[in-house]
Amino acid sequence: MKRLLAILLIVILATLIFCVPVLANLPHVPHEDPATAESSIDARSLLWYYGDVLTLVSLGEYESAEALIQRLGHANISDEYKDVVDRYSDLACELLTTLDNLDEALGEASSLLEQYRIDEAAVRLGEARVLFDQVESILSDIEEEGIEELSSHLGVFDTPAGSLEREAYGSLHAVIDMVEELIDESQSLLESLSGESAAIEEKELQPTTITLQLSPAAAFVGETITAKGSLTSEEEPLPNRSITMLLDGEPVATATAGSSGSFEVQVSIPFEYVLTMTVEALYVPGDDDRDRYLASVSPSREIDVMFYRTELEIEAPDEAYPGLPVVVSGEIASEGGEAADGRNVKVLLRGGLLATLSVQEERFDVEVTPEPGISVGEHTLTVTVDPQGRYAGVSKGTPLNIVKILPEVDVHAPTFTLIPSTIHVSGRVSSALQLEAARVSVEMGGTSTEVETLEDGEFSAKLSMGLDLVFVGLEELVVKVEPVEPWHGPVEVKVRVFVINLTNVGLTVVAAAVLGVLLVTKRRGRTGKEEAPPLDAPLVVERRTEAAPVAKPAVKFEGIKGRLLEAYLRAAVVVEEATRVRMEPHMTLREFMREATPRMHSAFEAFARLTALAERALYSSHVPEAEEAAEAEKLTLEVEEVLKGGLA
Amino acid sequence: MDWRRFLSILALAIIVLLAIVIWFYPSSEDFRVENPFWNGAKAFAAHFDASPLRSLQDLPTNPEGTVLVVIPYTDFTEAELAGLESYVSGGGTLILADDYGYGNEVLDYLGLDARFVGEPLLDPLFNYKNGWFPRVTDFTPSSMTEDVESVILNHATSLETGSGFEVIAQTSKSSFLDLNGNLKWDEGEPTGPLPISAQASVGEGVVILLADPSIVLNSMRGLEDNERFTKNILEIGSPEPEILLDQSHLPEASLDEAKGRLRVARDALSSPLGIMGLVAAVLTVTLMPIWRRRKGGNNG
Repeated sequence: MKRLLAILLIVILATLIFCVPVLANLPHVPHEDPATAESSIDARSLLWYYGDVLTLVSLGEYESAEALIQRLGHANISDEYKDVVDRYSDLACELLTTLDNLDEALGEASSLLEQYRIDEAAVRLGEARVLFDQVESILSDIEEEGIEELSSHLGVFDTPAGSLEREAYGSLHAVIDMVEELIDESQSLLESLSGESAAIEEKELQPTTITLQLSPAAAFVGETITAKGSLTSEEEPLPNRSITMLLDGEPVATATAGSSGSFEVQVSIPFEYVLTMTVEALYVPGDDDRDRYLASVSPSREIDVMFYRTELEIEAPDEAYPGLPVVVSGEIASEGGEAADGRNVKVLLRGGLLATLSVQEERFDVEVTPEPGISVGEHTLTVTVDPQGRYAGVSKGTPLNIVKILPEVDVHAPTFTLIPSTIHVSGRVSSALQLEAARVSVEMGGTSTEVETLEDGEFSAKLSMGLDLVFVGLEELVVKVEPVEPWHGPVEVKVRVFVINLTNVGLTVVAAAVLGVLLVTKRRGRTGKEEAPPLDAPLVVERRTEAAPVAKPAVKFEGIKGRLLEAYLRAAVVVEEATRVRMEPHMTLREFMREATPRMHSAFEAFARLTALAERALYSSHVPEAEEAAEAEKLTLEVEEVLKGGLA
Repeated sequence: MDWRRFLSILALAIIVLLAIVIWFYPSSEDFRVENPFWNGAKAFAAHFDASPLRSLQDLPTNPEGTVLVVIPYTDFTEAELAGLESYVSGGGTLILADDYGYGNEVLDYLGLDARFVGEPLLDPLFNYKNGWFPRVTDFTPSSMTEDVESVILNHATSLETGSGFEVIAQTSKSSFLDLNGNLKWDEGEPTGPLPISAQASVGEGVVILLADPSIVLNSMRGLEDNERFTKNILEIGSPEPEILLDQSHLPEASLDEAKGRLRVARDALSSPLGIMGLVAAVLTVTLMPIWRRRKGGNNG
């Protein structure tokens, strides 16, 4: 049995030891500790990236190119290279903006030339020339300061010819050539437009003049105003010509000049709630006039746009619950009077539309319900009043804190229980808000059960506590309440219960009792067992048949050594009887003598010598001689005489 | 004391000592909720109140309002795949975060038109420290990407998405898949932008794919907007979800295996049968000498 147990334990040990190497040995994993990862910058990818930016530039996709440059803020660029990269990025941005402006100037110049608006076209072409010079200068800076300096910093020139870094560098230069082609195209266009302008001027076309008056000078949105004017050339009226009315640069109406060159047209003011608008009259020569007249634009006239501002005041509770309606009140006012008549009002929370209503009165109330799934925390409730006619729109926000109410939970549980048994846990869940059928889970010591609350919020659960490892102690009874309503939050209540595990306690008592019996039996067994003296002398043990208290084995000794030891044993029996000190099996001869000494009186010296002789005979290599055996027998007689005399 | 008794006591002492060490020594294995080191998920579990799921058999019967994060580093059984399908169809949110694992088994079983590419994704320019840590800044505007400006990945891969999937985030133009493992872009290797996160609806639930599970690691969670992004994804179905982090498909080192066995042993001993068995064993050991003595006495 012992051998089996030992083998079993060694097997378990070996199994556990197998686990130990993993403490220091991790398998390969596809991750890396970011804290210890080495930092590196890839020069080639940065050059390629700039190549992409310039490619977009060469394609005229300036917005996309700018977005790429902006994104470089997220690139991994060390402080060492940051300045030169920033410089390059700034140059690239400057190039983009200038090219964009150049394109715009050329486009407008082209459009103006088309309309024979030669003076305005000349201004734009002048601007384009300045921009063109700037573009060339920036591109030169990009090549010299940007690419060369950047490449030098990144160590591109230290790499061998044909390396990927050199390849990226070469490719960037190729893209620069593409950008130069784009600039050349712009230059060609500029020259072409300048030539076109010169050609128109050479025609010596007659200038035209257009006048414009507005009546009234101020109007409400939605109203119309009257625009009047006349078209002349060298003070001669130009009848039957088409005049375009421009409102903030956009064509909105067309008029035809009468026989005297005068015109009159109604212009509607759009529902745009701005303070002023600009009106112009434009004459563009038609097919028949293209070789005779130049275009003309009237002086700009401003019109004051009128509308009523809308004032909005809103009232909302500071807090609201998910899924529960709240009332939002508002008041619409305006200097125009009937500000609220049929106005469309929207209520939004966190960008989501909660309600739309059409109000008829200045004061309104609207019930809105935050989404059941909305997150707890502060949000902004926004009320918007749409513009309507002469009334401008308005929008106003107010903070709204979304909270959840925690129900009150009253738990009735025993403070003391014996297990295995069934614990009865009851209680009541209540809330200031509507609460029904909340889920209640009760858990203790790994055992759990789940119930629902009744209509009145009461609940009752039975927890069947089975066998457990616990013996005696406090256990935590956890009651979790999860209401179904979105406005309620979950609640957890803990109650301490003193538990006595009858099974474990009983079994432990039984085991302890068995162990106690076992130990007692073993002790008695040892006491009763005849223990053979540790002799190397030949001896014969006679098993005694009578019961205790005599527990000493009866031995027979042979030879001189036997005589000596027999004498000692005889004396020891006398000492035991006289002193009542028992020679226990675990005692050495010397320990026995020390225990018995206080009660031996004058027999002490004789018994001490006898003990020494016996020890020498038993534990040393010395072979006792006949004189020693005789001395021992004499000493025994002395001990008997003293102790037995004393006893008598 | 004879040698057998000495050996038994010594072995017993070492067993108890080793069991205590194994029980209390923190796991150092990837994504383990007990692992407090850089590669563990202890901080994730603590911050998001995520519960470890030791077996997919323990999936909630009512998956609504729950989120299951699966890091599929070991393969799945048919029953597990069926369980996942039932979970998602029933209204659960499944976040499948994989790079080089078995995520495609799940996608295949669910019949979804998306795959984890399984090749290393590098971004030599837009990164955190080096190309193995791509920095993602291109997000499709949605509640999942609200207030998220950049997310850092760690030895990630990319996704191939088809019909039914909406891409949530993708890498920069300078990123690429390093098919030949030379850490440099070569002709023919796919370049960015490459999708790294996408979502699709399945039944009543949602499947969200992440081409890098490292985002939940203790060392990655706090980098840039990783935590915000993770939070947004976890809360896609419910503002206060019950989060489960699957631990049953993670690589298991011997230490974790031993921890698992100790846990099983503890659970077994906590059961009525276990307790009875333990008591029986104690009684047998204590009563054995008496029985033997009586037997010896009868024989004698």
